[in-house]
Amino acid sequence: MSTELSLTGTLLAKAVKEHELPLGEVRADAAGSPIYEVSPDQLRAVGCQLRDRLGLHYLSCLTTLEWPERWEMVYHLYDLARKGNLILKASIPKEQAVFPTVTDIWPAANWYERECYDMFGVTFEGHPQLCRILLSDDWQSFPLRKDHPMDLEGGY
Amino acid sequence: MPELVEVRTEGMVLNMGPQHPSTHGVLRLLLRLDGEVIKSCTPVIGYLHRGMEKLAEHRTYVQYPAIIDRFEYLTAMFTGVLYAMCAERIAGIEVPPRAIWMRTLMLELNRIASHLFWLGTYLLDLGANGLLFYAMRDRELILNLFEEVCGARLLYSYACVGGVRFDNPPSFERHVREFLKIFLDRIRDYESIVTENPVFLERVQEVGCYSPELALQYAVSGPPLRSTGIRKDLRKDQPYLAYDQVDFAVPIGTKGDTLDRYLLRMAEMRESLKIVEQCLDRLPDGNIRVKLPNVVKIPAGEAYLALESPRGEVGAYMVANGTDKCYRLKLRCPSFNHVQFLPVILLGERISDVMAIFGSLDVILPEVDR
Amino acid sequence: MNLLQSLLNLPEPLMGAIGALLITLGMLPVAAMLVLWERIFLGKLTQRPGPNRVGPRGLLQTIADALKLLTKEDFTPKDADRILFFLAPLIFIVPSFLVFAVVPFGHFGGTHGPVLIADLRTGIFFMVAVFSLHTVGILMAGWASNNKYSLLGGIRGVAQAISYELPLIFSFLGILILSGSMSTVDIIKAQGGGLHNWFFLAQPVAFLVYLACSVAEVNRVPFDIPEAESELVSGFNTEYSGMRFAMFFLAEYVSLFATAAIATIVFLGGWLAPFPEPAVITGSTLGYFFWSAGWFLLKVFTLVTLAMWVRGTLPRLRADQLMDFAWKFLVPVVLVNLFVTGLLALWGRWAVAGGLWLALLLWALYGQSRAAKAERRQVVY
Repeated sequence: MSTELSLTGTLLAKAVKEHELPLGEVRADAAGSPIYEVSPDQLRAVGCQLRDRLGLHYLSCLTTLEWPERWEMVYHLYDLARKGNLILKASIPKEQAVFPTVTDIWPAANWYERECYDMFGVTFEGHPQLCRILLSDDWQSFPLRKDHPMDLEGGY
Repeated sequence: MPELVEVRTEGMVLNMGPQHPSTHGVLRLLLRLDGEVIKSCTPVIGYLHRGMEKLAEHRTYVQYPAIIDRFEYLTAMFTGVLYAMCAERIAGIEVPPRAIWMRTLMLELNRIASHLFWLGTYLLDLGANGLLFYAMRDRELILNLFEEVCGARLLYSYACVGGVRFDNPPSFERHVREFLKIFLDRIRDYESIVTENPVFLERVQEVGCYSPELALQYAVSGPPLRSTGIRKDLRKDQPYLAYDQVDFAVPIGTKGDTLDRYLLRMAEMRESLKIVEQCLDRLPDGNIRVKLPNVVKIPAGEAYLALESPRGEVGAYMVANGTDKCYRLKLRCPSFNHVQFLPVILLGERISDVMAIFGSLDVILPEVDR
Repeated sequence: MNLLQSLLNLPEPLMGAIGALLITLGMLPVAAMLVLWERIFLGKLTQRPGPNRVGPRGLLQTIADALKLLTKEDFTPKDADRILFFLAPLIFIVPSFLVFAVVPFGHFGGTHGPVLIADLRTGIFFMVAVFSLHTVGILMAGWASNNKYSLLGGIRGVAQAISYELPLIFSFLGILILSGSMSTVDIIKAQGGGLHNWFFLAQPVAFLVYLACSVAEVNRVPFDIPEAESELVSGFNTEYSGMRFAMFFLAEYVSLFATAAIATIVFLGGWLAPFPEPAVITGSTLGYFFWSAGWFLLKVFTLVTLAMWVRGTLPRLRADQLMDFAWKFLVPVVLVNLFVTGLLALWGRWAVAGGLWLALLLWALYGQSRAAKAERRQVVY
């Protein structure tokens, strides 16, 4: 179980340190990529800096995790120069469920955020068009929530 | 002087799909047209949503590979291997070298099969019926090879956590080598039919151009990104499996138009042939999978891994929590980004070019909708 | 039908009616055969067996298809313009048959005259004029269907017809100068004496332009933008089903046969054999009929097969590229062709041919330069 940073992960962590970004302690995921926690109110500012100063223009993936007490947004950024992933995580308490959008920072996030809304019911402040994307417009529930049953009674 | 009458024209809204011969599955494009020129485009997706991510939370690590094959039916090898690799990475399972090389071999064969399918259907989108059958004929050869190994032609369930499920039969190597020999000639045939076809060139040159900056913003990957001249290929950038030990090149395009994407895929097939040959030469003996308990439990942890599939970066973000099912599996598919990118590049193009451009992105809808 | 006329001794209108009946009934099996042949030919071209289930070696496939189409529900979409929707297939199919009024299928030899319904003095003109009626059918079908794809297809069809009929007609003008007549029979007679007198040698540019335009005229690949399966989902005939679709389908193949027949008459010497005919055959009336009709059909089928071959190979051009090709390339080329023909007609046919072969060479060079432009593009490693 590798929880150490990989070579590119170390490079990325070093770059983050050099630019003195307001990011917390670095952790590593199993693939050796650095994980940073960031508070939701700083998310957009950090995102802009990562993009403009570190050159992380490429948002590979964006998703939501549901934990018992909180929602966690996970941003997978790809660095084309250092050829590694940097992972940004932001958490909010469960009852709040509102994140700032990053669509204007990384246009690719648009549909991913819509998907998160569609599946988890997490909303994104400032998103240009937050509506259902994979499910039909009149769908009522948020299927990827842990309390959502596998078989929907009288469902579609 | 006659009275002036105001003449007003209105744009036309055209629903392309979801039942349309060339939307490669069920995609709906809401096109706003001015004559034949596209003023805006809104893709509507989700017609094939099967809740694969929800299923991942309710199926064990042994059951799920059979489902993830359905994620993307043309490159079922890739998604299967990806899922297995994620679980192995989190659990720290060392895969035997033979399994690693065999996975590499299968992935590259699958890449050729997928590109062939694209070639045939793309020419069909452009209105040429003939090439589809040639491409299918050669894809059959690869499917025969797959059938020989795992008994399936489309959905393989080949990779499992800890290795691969099936060993090669003794005749396999000979058959692959025969295929390599045949296929090199066939690529030349294709190039003489297609690449030098003036009508084809007329249709694809300078069509659907976009800048590398735009492509990066929308996280476009695979041949659509490389056609703009950005050399991003995860096989080279983050070598997985045996890709750091084989010799191959990553071709890039120069203009970012449809012709470049076509040329790239043709070049990639040639490179894949090289990799397949090297894999055959260097295929080590030994076990094809590690011995794991009947109920595979993966310790808590998370990993995001991505493979370079024929369509681009296909990734999986797995969060495991120590049970026999994963806590969350997020599938990142290139086609999702490409469909999202589509309205940007379709603006101002003609309706005849919609299929030329959309087809060149090689979008597969089951992958978008999951 | 001079011989038949003298034999039967019927009034001319009645003979015309009989001829029309014969053509209509005769063209149905011909069209059915063409459909089957196209499927077999494309099958072989793409390494498939082709139809091989219905009847011996699949020979009854078209009949089965026709029966299926005839027994299907004839469906009219809601809000369609019912009258136009009903009329469109008729207007589409009638010109295809009408063309054959002036097509000489063969000759009875000697002074017995050719096998045709009416030897109009405006034969070629009649053909082109009648043929362009198709466009009305396409537009009507596209408009009446109340379907956006159909409408786009109909509009495209009109745009294409307007663009391609011009070079098509112009390509005939050189021939008219050479033959001095518009009558189909006179044009064929002007080509008598062997292969070297056929007009495709004297007018190679016109021949190629005609081939391109005729494919456009019958809306086949690479000029099938009014139908364009992968873009417009079959275009102007999307909403048609059953019998009415069968009429479109039938008309398409009859038209294909008709355009090939026109090309045969104008450029390939009609019923004439490529070499001087032996006396044994020219002497016998019935013998010469079969001989000449055989040659005629052989040439027509060769041209039809050529069109099928093109369909199996080429992708479809884009609508604006088609217009460019017609207006910026074909029209100037045929105008030059006409001009050169007119100038050189005074100096004999071979001088004309020489000049036009030169033009063809230039055309080939033009194509080569395009290919060279493409050759420069390569991927970077």
